[in-house]
Amino acid sequence: MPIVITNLSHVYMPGTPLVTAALKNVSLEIEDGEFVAIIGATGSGKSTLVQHLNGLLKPSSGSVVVNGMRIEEAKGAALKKLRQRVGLLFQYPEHQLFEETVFDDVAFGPRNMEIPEANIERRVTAALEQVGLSPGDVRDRSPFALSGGQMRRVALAGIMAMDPTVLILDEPTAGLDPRGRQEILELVRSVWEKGKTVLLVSHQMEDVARLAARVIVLHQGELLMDGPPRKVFQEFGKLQSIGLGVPQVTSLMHGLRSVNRPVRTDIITLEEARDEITGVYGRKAHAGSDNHRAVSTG
Amino acid sequence: MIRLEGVSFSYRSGSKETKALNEVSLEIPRGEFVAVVGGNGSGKSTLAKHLNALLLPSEGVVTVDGNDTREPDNLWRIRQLVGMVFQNPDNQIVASVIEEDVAFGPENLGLPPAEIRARVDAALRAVGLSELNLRPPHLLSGGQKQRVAIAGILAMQPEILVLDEPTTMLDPRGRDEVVKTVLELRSNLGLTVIYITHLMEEAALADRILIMDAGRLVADGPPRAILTKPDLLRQMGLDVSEMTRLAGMLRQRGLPVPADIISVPEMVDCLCPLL
Repeated sequence: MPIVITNLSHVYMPGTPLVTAALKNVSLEIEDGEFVAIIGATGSGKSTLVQHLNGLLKPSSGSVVVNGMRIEEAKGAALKKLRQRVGLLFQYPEHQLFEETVFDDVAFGPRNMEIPEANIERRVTAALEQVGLSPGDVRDRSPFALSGGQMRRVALAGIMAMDPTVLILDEPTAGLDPRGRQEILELVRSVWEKGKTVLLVSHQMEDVARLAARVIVLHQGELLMDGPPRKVFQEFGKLQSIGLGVPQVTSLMHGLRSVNRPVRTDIITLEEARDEITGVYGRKAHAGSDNHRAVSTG
Repeated sequence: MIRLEGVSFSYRSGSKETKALNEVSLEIPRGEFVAVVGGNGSGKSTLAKHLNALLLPSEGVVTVDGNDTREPDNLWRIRQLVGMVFQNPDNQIVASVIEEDVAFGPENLGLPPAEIRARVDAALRAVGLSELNLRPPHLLSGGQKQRVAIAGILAMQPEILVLDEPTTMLDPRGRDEVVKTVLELRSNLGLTVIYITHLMEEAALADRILIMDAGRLVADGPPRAILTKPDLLRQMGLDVSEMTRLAGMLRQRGLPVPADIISVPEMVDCLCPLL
């Protein structure tokens, strides 16, 4: 279900003194099966953008077309269908858990879709397994008795149980410890590997570099950059000027280049940095021994 | 000086008793910058809340400049000595104008207006927000809000600043702003800083790192000693910083790089002569 966004603008509180243009003329297309990261400072419009994709917000002007359907016209059954196909995990989603048991919380979405109860059992079990929770252990527990990382996984299972085609995650790892963060990111990767489209809003540039094939940069409601992470993170200075960072290895390579070391700067992962540094080191050592030979034979 | 001696803390949910702190002993001398790291549920926040008597030990003793936190008469003194900043800036701001928010604490102390004015101005200057003193807080960025929260604490003239994951909800610029502010306060005002974080690059800036696991203090040392033990960190569910990992990978390929590199500038310095 391709997503086509054309000249999308969104204005909060129009006609009041608090009027704010949160998105200005954003156009982009997302194909099936893409893994797209959305980065930008607080207030850049990231959350506003993703909330258009399942019809939670409607454009002030411009259009959003998901799988051929204009979301501004979607209502009733069609809107319900859209929300089921485009799953959106909010920031701190554990605050939205509300049922008495984990099972009921995860089953809430599918039950709303009027799926027969027999199938719901299967969906909930599969969703819990998918997020790395043992259904037998957690299904009858109160979601509020779980740890923060587990609660977040329950929230994610609630979305997975609706079997969405597009999964949007708004800072899914905020506040988690490093282990919890890795677990959630691995999960997101595995969901994408099963062919889903994934949109990840993140402030963690290392994660973005490692996972996404495409990075969208928003700045004050406008689309500033859109390209593969290697290209986007090359714009080191531009990103810094709008309050964003680059992966530490990218910043290292720029640091080496600024003192005239002959290294590439389009490096975004540890492995690439290792290979580039090792390569330059090897060539210098080699050149050094050639010079030495030249001197000794001359 | 903060001193914990054999501090344990248990809480009950239903019939189950959980030990959130388990026989923790440590001393933090005046002016030290201590980072506390550990997984979710390791006891970091419980530890922090013991430092200004928000929680009292089930066993053991916590003293702040010699004041025992269990002694009710010490409460005012301790709360004034130890200021706390929490994760979510929106939950910590009470007034509709920034300088009024910063004045909230000193007003509660019943200080004369001129003294309040002087403290508010000094606190906003210290966090670099003097020019925004009349703004409403909701127009600030996350990093600015968190600095307002810090200014509100500074106006109480504390000696110890405890920050519980103050950058978790901020974007990269907000994180930088808060970290820089904390480092400045520490060097300009000589404050003792206790800084809880999940981010190893923030912990690397401290004088000393404590690792908590299952309520116990499992490691305590300078960043270079702690951050360069990948096995320990992984075992505790913590990250190994990117530059330490890269140093390990380069060493495996035979480059003469020290294993204990923890920051980008250090890595640049050490690679320069090799490339």
